[in-house]
Amino acid sequence: MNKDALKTLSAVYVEDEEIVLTQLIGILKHHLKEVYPARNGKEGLELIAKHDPDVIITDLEMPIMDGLTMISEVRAKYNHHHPIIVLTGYDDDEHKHDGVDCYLYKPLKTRELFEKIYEQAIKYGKLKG
Amino acid sequence: MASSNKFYGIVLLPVISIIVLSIVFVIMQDRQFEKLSEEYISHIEQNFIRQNREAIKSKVMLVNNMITFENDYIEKELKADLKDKLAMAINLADKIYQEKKDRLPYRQLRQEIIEQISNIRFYEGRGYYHIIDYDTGVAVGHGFKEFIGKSFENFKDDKGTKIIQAQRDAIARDNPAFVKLYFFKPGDSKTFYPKLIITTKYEPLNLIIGTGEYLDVVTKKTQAKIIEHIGERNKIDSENYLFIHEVLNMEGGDHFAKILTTMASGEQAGTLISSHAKDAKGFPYRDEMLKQLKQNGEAFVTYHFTKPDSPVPSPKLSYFYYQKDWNWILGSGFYLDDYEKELAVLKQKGIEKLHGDRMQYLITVLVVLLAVIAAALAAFLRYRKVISSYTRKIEQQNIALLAYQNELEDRVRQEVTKRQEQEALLLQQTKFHQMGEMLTGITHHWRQPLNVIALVAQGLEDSYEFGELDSQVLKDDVNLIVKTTQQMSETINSFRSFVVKKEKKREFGVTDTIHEVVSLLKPTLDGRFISLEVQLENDLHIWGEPGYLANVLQNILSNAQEELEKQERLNRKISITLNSDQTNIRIDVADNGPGIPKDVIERIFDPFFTTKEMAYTTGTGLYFSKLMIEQGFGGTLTVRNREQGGACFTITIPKSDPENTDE
Repeated sequence: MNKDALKTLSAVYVEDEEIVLTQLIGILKHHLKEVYPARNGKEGLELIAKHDPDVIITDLEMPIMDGLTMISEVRAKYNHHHPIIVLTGYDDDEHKHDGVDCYLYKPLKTRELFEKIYEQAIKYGKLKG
Repeated sequence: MASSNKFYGIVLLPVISIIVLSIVFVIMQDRQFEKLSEEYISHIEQNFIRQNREAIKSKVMLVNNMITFENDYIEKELKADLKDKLAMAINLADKIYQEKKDRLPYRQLRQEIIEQISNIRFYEGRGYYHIIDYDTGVAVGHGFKEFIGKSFENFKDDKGTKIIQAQRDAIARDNPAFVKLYFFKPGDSKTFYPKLIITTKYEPLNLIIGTGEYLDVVTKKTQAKIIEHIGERNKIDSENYLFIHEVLNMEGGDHFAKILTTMASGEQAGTLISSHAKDAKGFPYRDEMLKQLKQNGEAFVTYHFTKPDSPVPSPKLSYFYYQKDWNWILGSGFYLDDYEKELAVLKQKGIEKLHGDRMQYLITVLVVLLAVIAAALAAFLRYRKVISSYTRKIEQQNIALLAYQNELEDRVRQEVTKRQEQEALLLQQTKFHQMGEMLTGITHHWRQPLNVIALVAQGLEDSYEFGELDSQVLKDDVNLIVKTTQQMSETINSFRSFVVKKEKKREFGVTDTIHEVVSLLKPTLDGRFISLEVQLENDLHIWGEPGYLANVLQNILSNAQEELEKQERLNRKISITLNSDQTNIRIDVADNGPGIPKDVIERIFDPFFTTKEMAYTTGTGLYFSKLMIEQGFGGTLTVRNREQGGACFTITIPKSDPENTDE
């Protein structure tokens, strides 16, 4: 994993839980170029349209628009243009989506998250490995 | 009594109705009576007139019958007489014939007999014999000499009957035979005068011998007799006099008739009268009479005559009968005013009778009315007792019904409560089945704080790496971790005490356990100026884990303490009561706080339900308490707001069976 390469990436992070959002945004800001925080799927879609991030990180259970709906819309609108990483507490079929590139479970290990971001960025051609 | 008054009304109403109806009925009947009496009087009047009409008619008809009888008698008598006369001639003929038939030649004998008979005269000279040769019809002997030798063969009477042949035909049937012939009289060629002829064939001489007599001659004699009789009668009974007119011209006219009997008015017999004569009021009563007579053969005519002893004309009703045989008018009449007194008497009698009937009717109605009223009163007195006894019974039954109703209401209330409890129980069972879901929820809740702790920890490391870790960041992050772990600890304690922690079940004294809990919490309560009142029954034992009960009591007491702390007042109190019945022990934990709001009390045992505004608080306290009592002891935990204020939690647990020492 090239930490400098990570520094060239931008991300949209969608999470409704304020403490979790604050804590993870603080960490992500250290390692990525830009992080755009969103509190639900709708805000997420607006930020994606606005900033065209290199990677999308999202929780699933949220008010207004949940994560799975947002993912469906992103895939419908941009096809497989963005890698999508899901952070969830649920490890069951109800919380799965074909459009998701990888799942990470809570409690989250940040190192694992950065590895997946890097991996997906290369896969999607956001970085040159 | 009001009901009695009503009752009087009910009973008296029909009585009054009957009286009113009777009065109306009587009035109506009385009017009917008046109408009836009018009808009755007019009926009397009509009846009276009718009777008098009949009387005069029958009087007249009596005369007519006399005339008819006399008329028939005239013919019979004449026939008998004519027979005698003929027999006389035949006897004479026979006598001469027998004496001289041997001595005299036939022709001479025949001639002698003819002459002998022809000379006989009778009926005051009017009577004679006619002797005709049977074969030739030539008169051989006759009263009138000029007819002798003349043939009567083709001689006809004035009606056209051949007189000889008619005699031959009659003799063929009957010998001697009667023949009626009709002739006009000199100066009267309109009226056929019947002449009765008796005739016979005298065989020895081949002769027709006969004689005859005009009937009217005899009739006139009889008529004169009757006229004389009526005249005598009228003299004796002037009030009911009869009169006879001889009709000269049925068509009427100045001399249409001749008076035969002297009239009461003074008109003499033999006077010719005019049909145009008028009565005292100018009414042509005779023309009216003639008109009716021609139509019906009889006439009733009312006209006015001034009686000799009266200055004003009186109405008179007369009956007339036309006697065809004699061409007579027979009549009789009566003055209506002559009978007015008689009529008045009759009317008076009729009215009196009617009044009598009316009185009798009224008395009858009155008697019936009194009987009805008496019956109604008797019935009223008889049934008043019955009804008042029924009224009493009904009142008693009403009271019983009311009591029964109250009892029913109580039972319904009890049933409703029971049912509500059953439903609540069912709900609790459902909730227990939802425990699996609850565990999933707890897991989720744990994942969040765990995630927070993980992120904070990794953030610390991260901050350090980037040289951002100062004392403030460190302090904040540590505080967040500690706070998060404390909240997690609360959840895990609740869960552990029920699910994870396993104490050995045993029989223990409830009183001791309560004392332990109380001694543990007493200092805290004292410090917060909350008094604790404890009333415990001794020596009560249950089967289960003492820790569960202590935990539940602690939980309930903590809740009560928190609620009372919100109350800014003195005399804040919690009471714990322990008592028992045959099967259960019962612990009541009550406070004198404001009680539990309705929307809260319904959900107070729901998992995660809480009234405390704390993040991540699971609020499982009362839910687990309930589960512990139900699952750990087979008892119940309920809550209610007391009538005197405040909430009361009640724990009910079955007593331990001393003989059941299994496990």
